Amino acid sequence: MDNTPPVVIMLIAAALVVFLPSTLRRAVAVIAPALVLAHLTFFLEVGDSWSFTWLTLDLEPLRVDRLSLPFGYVFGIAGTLGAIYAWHHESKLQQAASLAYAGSSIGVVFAGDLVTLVLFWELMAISSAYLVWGGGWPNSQSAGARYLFVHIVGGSIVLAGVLWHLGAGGSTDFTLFDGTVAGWLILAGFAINAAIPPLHAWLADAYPEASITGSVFLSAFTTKTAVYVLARGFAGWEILLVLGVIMALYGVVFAVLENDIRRLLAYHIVSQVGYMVAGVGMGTEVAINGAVAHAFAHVIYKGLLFMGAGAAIHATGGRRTLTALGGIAGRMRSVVTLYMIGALAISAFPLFSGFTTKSMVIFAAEEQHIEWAVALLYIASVGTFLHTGLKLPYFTWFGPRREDIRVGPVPKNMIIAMIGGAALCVGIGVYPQPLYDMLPFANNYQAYTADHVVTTLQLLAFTAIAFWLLLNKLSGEATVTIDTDWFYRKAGKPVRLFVQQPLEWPFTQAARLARWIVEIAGRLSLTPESGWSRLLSAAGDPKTIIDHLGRPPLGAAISAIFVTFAAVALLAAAFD
Amino acid sequence: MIFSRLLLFTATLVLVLSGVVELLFVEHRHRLFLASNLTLYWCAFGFMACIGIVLVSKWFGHTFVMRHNDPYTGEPVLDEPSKSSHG
Repeated sequence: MDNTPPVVIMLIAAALVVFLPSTLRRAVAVIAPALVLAHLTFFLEVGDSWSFTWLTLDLEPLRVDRLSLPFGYVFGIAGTLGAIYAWHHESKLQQAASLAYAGSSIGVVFAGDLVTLVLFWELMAISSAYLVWGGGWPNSQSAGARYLFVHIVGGSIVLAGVLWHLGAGGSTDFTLFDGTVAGWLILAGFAINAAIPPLHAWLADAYPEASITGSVFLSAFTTKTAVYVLARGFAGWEILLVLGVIMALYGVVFAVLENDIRRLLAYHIVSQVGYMVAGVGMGTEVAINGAVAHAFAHVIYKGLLFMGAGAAIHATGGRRTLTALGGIAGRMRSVVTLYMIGALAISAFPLFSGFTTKSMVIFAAEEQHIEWAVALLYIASVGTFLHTGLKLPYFTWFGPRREDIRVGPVPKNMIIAMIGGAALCVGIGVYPQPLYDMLPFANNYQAYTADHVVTTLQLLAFTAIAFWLLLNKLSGEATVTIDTDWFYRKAGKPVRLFVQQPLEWPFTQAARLARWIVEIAGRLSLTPESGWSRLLSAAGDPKTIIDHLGRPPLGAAISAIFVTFAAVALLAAAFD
Repeated sequence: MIFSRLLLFTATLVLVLSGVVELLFVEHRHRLFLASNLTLYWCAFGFMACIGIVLVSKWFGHTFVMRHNDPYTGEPVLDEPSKSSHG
């Protein structure tokens, strides 16, 4: 038990739920990630490892160290809370996919070698695509297909990089990469999962099309495993600092334009992951600590925000845009309150989790005197509070009461999961020390200084004033925003026409020919006499020939066979 | 109206209290931008940044990337809620 990789628990559970009855299935979905937490707490410790050689490859499916452990813990928490939130959901496939997805993410963070990493990386992509497909929205199928396409391309780039790395004599050990072609390829693959612009559009495209419960899982794992692998393989790569700051602002700008509430939150994942990527790019001990701590807090508060938005969509029977919502706060007070705790956490209010984690990344930039990064990250913080803390809740729940919106009940399990998330947001905000103790490096950072509290309060209070003044400009607009997915979505048609169809042509023609031969042969053998006469009188086109052959009297033929057998049996009985 | 009054009250409270605390007790740890150590600097920063974000983003969106017709299907974007079958 000691050295069992935690992913094993999750994958067994994923396989089990397919065969279990409804209640047991739900219980397993909650218990499995909770067991992972227990396993990490009681059986595994820093330094544990399990490795073996397969063919010529040195594999290490389990490596526990101070970088992987915090991610393991938070993924266990996210899996448990997500499963409670999804308790009312009946779909077996969604439950199995959630478990496999959370499990493979846990598999990635404890993978000590590149081969195991690629394996779980791909499994993560495939299992999560089912969460998008299960959305049940008009665009879920196509968005899921695009999501999978992007991640398969990303996974292939990672695999190509790993093979290049191994081919050049590199070891399978997953550690810091250097600036070789292999290193850059792997970075590009990781950048897709981290949603670094311009490779980010899959996130805002797919997450709002997933099921309400599915998007809670999606918000937790893919981008944060990417932060983990970047911190492991690319810490201190300066380009990541630049890209991270661009991400932080990019997400904010697109969130201003967004009308779909979960797409707005999705753009804020891009923005928040920007802080983590910037921290990884700085590469100092404080910066890496900041990136990991912020990833930990982010998984929980972002899950809570998606839960709150999902509860609003669920209760209103599928209203998902700012323009379609509003004026319902009085009818779902507990959801609004719990959502606001998540909003205060992401906005880094004192006493909430973001205050104790996000500020570490900015502090790291201050320490290194990277003034431009500090200023731009502060601006992104303003944007975060503006959208997640003010604009989204105001236009989703507040405003004049709207009687045209029917508000149904929110399942209790959703509220319980949100209470769990909210408690952790406050817990980490009030008493961050246990989280700080878990970080990769010894932590000397103090969040609660008079300077930090005062400046944060000033920043956020006057963001709120500006929001109030600009209220009319900020209401949702019924528009669609073009993002970089435009390029591959528009390219889809020509690619289908000029690449896919020419490649498929010989195969489809061969398949059609084979079908005709089988069909004609089948009908001729069933109705030989009329078949041959019809065939001889028909024109040359096989389709017309088949039409001329008419319906094969299959029923009559089977009856004839049955009657013959019965007669033979009777005769045999008579003469026996 | 309650929202507006509450907001104004809170902002004024923060302005006054944080200004007093800042003057008396706060030693700024960062000496990054020259102005960042001025009392109440971060009030101005938050206010200006928020207005800047909204104006620049809206200008960018309306000029370049926002569409009233779905660019992939050509259909107009509706205000109506779209229904999920089992979301």
